[in-house]
Amino acid sequence: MPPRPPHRRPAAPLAALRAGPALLLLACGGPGDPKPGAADPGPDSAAPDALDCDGAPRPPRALRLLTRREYQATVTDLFTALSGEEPVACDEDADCDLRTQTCDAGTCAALPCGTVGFSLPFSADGGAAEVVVAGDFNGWATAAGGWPLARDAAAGAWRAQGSPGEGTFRYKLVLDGSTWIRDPTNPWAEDDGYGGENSVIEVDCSGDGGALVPAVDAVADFPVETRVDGHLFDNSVDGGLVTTPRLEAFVGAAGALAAQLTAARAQVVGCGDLSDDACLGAFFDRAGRRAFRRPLEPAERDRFVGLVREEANPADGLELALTVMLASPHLLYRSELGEARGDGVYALTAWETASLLSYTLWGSAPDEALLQAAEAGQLATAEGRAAEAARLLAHPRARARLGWFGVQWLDVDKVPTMHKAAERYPAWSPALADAMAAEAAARVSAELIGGEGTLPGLLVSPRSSVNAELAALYGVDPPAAGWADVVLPPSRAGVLGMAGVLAATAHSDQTSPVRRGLWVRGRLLCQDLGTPPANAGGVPEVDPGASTRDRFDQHSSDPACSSCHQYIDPVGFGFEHFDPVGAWRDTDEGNPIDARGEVLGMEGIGQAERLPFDGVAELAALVAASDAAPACFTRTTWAWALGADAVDACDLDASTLAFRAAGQRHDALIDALVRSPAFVEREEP
Amino acid sequence: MPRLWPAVTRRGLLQGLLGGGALAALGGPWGRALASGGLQRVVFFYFPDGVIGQSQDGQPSQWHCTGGGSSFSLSPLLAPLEAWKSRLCVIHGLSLGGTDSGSHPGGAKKLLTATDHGNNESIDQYLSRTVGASMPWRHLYLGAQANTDGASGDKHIAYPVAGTTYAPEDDPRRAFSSLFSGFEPDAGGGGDTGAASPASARALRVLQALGDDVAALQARAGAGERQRLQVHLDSLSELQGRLGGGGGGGVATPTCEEPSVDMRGITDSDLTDPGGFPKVLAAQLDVATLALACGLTRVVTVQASHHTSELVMSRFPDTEMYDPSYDMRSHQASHYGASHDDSKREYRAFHQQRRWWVGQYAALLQRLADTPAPEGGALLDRTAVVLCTEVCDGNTHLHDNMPMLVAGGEAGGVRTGQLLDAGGRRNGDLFVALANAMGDGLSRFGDGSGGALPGLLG
Repeated sequence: MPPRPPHRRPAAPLAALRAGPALLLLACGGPGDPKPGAADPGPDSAAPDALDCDGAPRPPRALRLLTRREYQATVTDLFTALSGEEPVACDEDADCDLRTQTCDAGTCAALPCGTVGFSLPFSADGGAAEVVVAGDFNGWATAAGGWPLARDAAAGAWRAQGSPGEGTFRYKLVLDGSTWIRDPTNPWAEDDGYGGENSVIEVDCSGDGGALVPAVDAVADFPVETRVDGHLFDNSVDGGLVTTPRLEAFVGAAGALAAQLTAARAQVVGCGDLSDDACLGAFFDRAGRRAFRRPLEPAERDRFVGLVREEANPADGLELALTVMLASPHLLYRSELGEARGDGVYALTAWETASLLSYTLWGSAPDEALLQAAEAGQLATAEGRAAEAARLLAHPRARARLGWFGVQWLDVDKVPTMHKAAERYPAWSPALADAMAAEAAARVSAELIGGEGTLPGLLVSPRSSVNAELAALYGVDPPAAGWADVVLPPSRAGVLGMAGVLAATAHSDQTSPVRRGLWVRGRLLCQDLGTPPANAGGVPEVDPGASTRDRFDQHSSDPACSSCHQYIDPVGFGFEHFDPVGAWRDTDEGNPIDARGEVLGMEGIGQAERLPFDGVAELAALVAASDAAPACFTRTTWAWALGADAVDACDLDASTLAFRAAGQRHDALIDALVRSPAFVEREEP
Repeated sequence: MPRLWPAVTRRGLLQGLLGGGALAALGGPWGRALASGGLQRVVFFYFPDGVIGQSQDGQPSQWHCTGGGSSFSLSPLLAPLEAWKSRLCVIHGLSLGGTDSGSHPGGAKKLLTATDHGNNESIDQYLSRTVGASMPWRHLYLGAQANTDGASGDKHIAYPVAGTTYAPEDDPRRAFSSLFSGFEPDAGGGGDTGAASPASARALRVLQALGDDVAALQARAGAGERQRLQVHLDSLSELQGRLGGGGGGGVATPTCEEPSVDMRGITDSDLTDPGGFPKVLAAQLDVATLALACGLTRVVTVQASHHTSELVMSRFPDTEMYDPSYDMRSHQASHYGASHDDSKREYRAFHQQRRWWVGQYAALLQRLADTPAPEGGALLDRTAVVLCTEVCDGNTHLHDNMPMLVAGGEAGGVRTGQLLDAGGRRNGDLFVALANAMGDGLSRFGDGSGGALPGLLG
């Protein structure tokens, strides 16, 4: 490879502040401190192409192991495609067939076989206050054994799920314990012998009809991902090692999935008794194209057919071949090795580009349309990539994927594994913790795709959605059922006042101005304050009578502490109205809350500008108006796309300029990313 | 509203491949006796956030002992080990080196890699590839709430390749199931290599085909990716070994005729709730002991929590630390102040907490002393059990005079009943000595290594 002069230094590592140290005492005031995401704060109208990054270092070639979620989505889509179905897009359950499906990550997913959804539109409930389903499967009981339906405002219906198992069942809906009616949503009914009609359902799990659902739950059962060097997301390239526990999970899952496909071979394979090599070859071409996200080489196809022939019983051979395909490194890794261009740069192939687009934006393999765009050579141009990215972003799956980005970016994904002192915070429960994560996901995706679509909007908007637990915490009216959109009090403006963020950045029984300050510095501004020195003090005790602010006073009074903490605590103090689980409080240990603070060096550590504020809403407005926030969000989005903080500073600046020129619209940022040469070019590290 | 947190279901995943338990189809040399000489096993037991060493203002350590050689007295923090004194090699003066001294992550990165910034594979992984490679499980990495609070990256201590950790298994139920579902040791201990079952033959064929694919990919990849793909190939080889395609085997000792572990009623919430921590750790120590007793592995790492731990140890039931009115976290207590001051709540709690960790280590020694080894005698006789944490004093965070102990392994050459002064040598030298005792010819390990730590063996 011919040597090429580096254009600029690669960007400094993204701040590693995930579970930050308690105290920092570095000499933090030096004027030479790097300013991450170093786009010059020029006017927002700067032309995106003002920077010439030709010759800039490119991200490293890589094989990127699928995350648990990506693996689950990939095999689910593969099963759907092999069933001859195409995924149906949805935003909520009501977009799907309520009897057999739920909305999961933007597509309608079948309920497990044996589980049935029952529903009754509000328009047909005759004003009933209670609805249950009674039938063969629960002894026609209406009290203890009846399955109660719950009001689902989003679906406009009463809903319940039950698991009668396999067989043919008769049932009725019972209104207010006395009025027995047939299910108006189910056309199949028969005479009940009493002058009325029973509704009838047949549950058949033999596998013909409808899309196959993988019998694997990778998210629950697989080893967790490793996030190397402070990478915020589960898709860390370097963390994607196939250790033995992970290989065991992949191979075990492949075996189970292959057995499932083999059992359903009449539906998914065809090919009769499996004796026709040409028919099998065509099947493996079809399956391989979706599983490996590229066409199979002829030798690969022939090898799969050969594997089928290795077993005396062709069904056993099919299972063997499918197991190999489903655990193949070609499925488990998405390749960003590229092809050598001769100048030291490796250009991603059309197929690799298609996978990069779809896993970044959907968290799954390319759909048929994207594969066809790859095949037609459309992804080689910036225009072609931008067009496909826009199509993918418009699909509900992009919202689900962006939600998962958002939960991790904001550090709320850890909340369900956190402990809080239940005696002090009785609102805390596993259900509330899960709801916090769900809210963060919904809010990020709704604001960036469905709302104003801008980063400043996300940072200051009071719009969110809540369930009963969150409504109680926030002090707003609870939804009739499930989740409902709300406008939160102005004091909670933006994601800074979101319960999940507030809980993630507090200890179990006390708030932490340090963690909260570091969260703003690290997650929103990409400013890394480094590691605390030896013999830094600890978290001050919860001192009856002393406010948190008073307890942390040493950080500002002791010069050894304040050189760093002047950047941290005065930001974190702004959150003091929110307790460790994110509930509003007017007093702290009996003292009135003082939520005034200041941001020193918003645009970079070492800068002297001081921005005073009072409370989270004012802080959010300051961050939203900063230059550092869009630069940081651009850098974070690149890290999400590449699985590492690997984009060159010049390309980063170019994307930031484009993002800002477009009013910090998220879709414009994605557009800039996919058009960038850094998106599709790699080099040997 | 999209579903983000799917309901948890648990299955034995390798069962999907075999249609039964992972080991049910074992046909190969299951039951072959282990080699009888040398150190057979090593266990690394990690706890977070250091100990009470020399204080910032110079008070003497509560961890380090007085005396030297065979004449020494245990320190206050090591008091729970009094009954084990003759089986301990207490080590003073071992250093992690000066880089990043003062930091938890810097220490954690150097702890088992013996290399600055974790830029090396860790010793447990090295041993798993060498002396442990012929075992059905090259290595067992068990955690107790080691993944909570989003812990990842430098919060974990096992490095399969330089710079990259992986996550320990935090659920003893799943660890047990992975090890023992379908477990059928060869009671005869004969070495009969009889025909493998059709299921295991097919599984082996799968692994072989996957190995071909990985090797082909390796040829196209660059240097960095080739190393990561080697980890993939090593994992394939380990699973092949388990399926009887080669390698050594487990053995049927009385302990593992019907392997079982008391799971103490552990539920999913115990995996993150501090009140459940003691029983989760206890069950993991049982699982580790059983795996060693059944000859499934020679190398175990047990990671209790992780550095800068938010673990609320004041919620451990039935301990002197218990105080439901107040949350005392490990990391919070570790910053007990500039002096050893009994009037401070943090200091008292930290003292109690560190003694509790030492007590857990003692309980592990008890298990190993009570459990027969595959080669005869007790497990502890040929098992070296290393106790370690990522900094010395929890308040000063220094990386010198590290709190490290080795226990057991006398029949494998470890000289116990002594206080050994390492004279400031690097921690890699301890690992070299242990590898040598296990029959590996390692001569240096990590930064600044000068060879096997003198005085540990012989």
